[in-house]
Amino acid sequence: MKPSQPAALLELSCAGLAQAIRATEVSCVGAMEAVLANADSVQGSLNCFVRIDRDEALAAARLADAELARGFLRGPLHGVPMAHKDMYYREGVVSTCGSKICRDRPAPSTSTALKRLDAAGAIQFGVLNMAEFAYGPTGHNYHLGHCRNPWNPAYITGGSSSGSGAAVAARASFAALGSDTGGSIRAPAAFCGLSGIKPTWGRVSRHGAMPLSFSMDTVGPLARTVEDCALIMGVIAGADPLDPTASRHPVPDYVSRLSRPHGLSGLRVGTTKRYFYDGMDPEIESLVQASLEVYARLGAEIVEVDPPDMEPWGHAAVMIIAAEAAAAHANWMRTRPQDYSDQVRARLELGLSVPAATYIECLRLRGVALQEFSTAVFGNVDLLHVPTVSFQTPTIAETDVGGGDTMMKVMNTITRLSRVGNFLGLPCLSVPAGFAKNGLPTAVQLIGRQFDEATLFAAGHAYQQATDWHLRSPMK
Amino acid sequence: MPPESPAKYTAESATALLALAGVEVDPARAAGIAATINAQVRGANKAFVALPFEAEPATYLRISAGETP
Repeated sequence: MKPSQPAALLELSCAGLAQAIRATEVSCVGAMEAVLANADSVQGSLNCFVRIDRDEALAAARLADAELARGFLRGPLHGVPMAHKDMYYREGVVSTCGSKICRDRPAPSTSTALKRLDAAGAIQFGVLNMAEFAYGPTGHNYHLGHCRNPWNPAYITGGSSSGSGAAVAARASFAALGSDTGGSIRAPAAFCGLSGIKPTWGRVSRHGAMPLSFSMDTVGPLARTVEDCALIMGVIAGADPLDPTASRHPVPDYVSRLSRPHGLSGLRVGTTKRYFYDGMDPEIESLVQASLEVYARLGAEIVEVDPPDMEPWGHAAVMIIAAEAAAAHANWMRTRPQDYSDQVRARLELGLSVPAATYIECLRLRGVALQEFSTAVFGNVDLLHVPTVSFQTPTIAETDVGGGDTMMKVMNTITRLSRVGNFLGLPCLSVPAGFAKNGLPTAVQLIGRQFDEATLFAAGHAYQQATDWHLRSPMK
Repeated sequence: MPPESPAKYTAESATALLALAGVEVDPARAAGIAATINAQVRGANKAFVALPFEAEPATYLRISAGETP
């Protein structure tokens, strides 16, 4: 099938589509029309879009074609259609942040990540569903309606970047920005069969992105391939005068470093049964182990490591997120508590109850924990290979807990393996690792040293050259 | 065994702290809030008791910026 045919075109990765556009095998308008038509067709069943800006997107695609015709290429994503989690601001335009409270609030500034994607030639055509204020890991949204998994709409997408997971998996966007504070990129990537990177804290500017927990929030993409994650990260990463927490650490050319000269030979991949396999579903465990065997076949040295006890860090992470989110929302909690869903209001009440000294103890713990973890793990290996989640994907009904007594148990179970990465600030790449018997995907996360996303991308890319999990589509 | 955390929350203490922040909480929920805070503090306490006296949040921030501590 030629890439100009809509069905084949929609299966292209960002890198593949950008290449096809540069080679004039596909027009920007053709790509945009195909993705808009598919977005319309899946929206009824998945509820992944909050808004689609059809006319503006088609006008931008026409302009992109005209630019290309006169030899002007904006950048590596010229003409690639994307929609993003509805928390990346454009000045003067409403970003709902998945909430009732912000549904009429014009954004105060434009997000640096969006500006950089614009400059690289990507065309934003819409905004995507998300958990209310990015504070929920399932994909439920009691204001906008729940987002549904393209592999089976009865199941959760994961959250909080629920629409990003559903739309990219359903071929209704070529990639999407998500955000990850406790697992909000990795959970939907895992449940929807996508690749997703939670970068090192500070690697990508948070300017113009809705805050949830300032010391844990990260900005990153969900995409069909690790190569696309590398491509997009190369565009959005780096220092930003508008975000003093954005690191000046140099940004390598991630794409050129995807292929190592000797494959994965010389790469030390860590594995540990500690913490990450507690109470694990046997079927998911066998898929994760099979993934590790692929790395061994590719030449990596598999090394058992013995990290410190991470259980207390998971509890500390919950309290940091709760306290920082509650502080950010304190004014609205005083003036508009009725406009939050029961679930988010209950979680914010919890955060307002974390004692200040306890919160600071959690922060004091982070430096110690990071040093202990880095010594025990990265003193011996280049990356750690562990599951993204330890259980079968639950249904929307099973996790529809509102603000009730079982809420925290469900929230904490889903984020148990991911929030430690936020606590430590380390980069974590989630990569599809197979399918359970119920047809739902699962994933492995690769955890790396600070600012060493490049090694994670190279390892994940090599894995995807040897497997086809990432190529499977729920739309076939 | 690490000692139990001194922070033993009750529904009344959670309600009072929320009131201090200007937020009125449904009394039916206050007990759940207190129980959750107690559980999280208990869970983290094993690491808290091993924290060096000199540990500061700035250590983490410095490493996070890509600097060697």
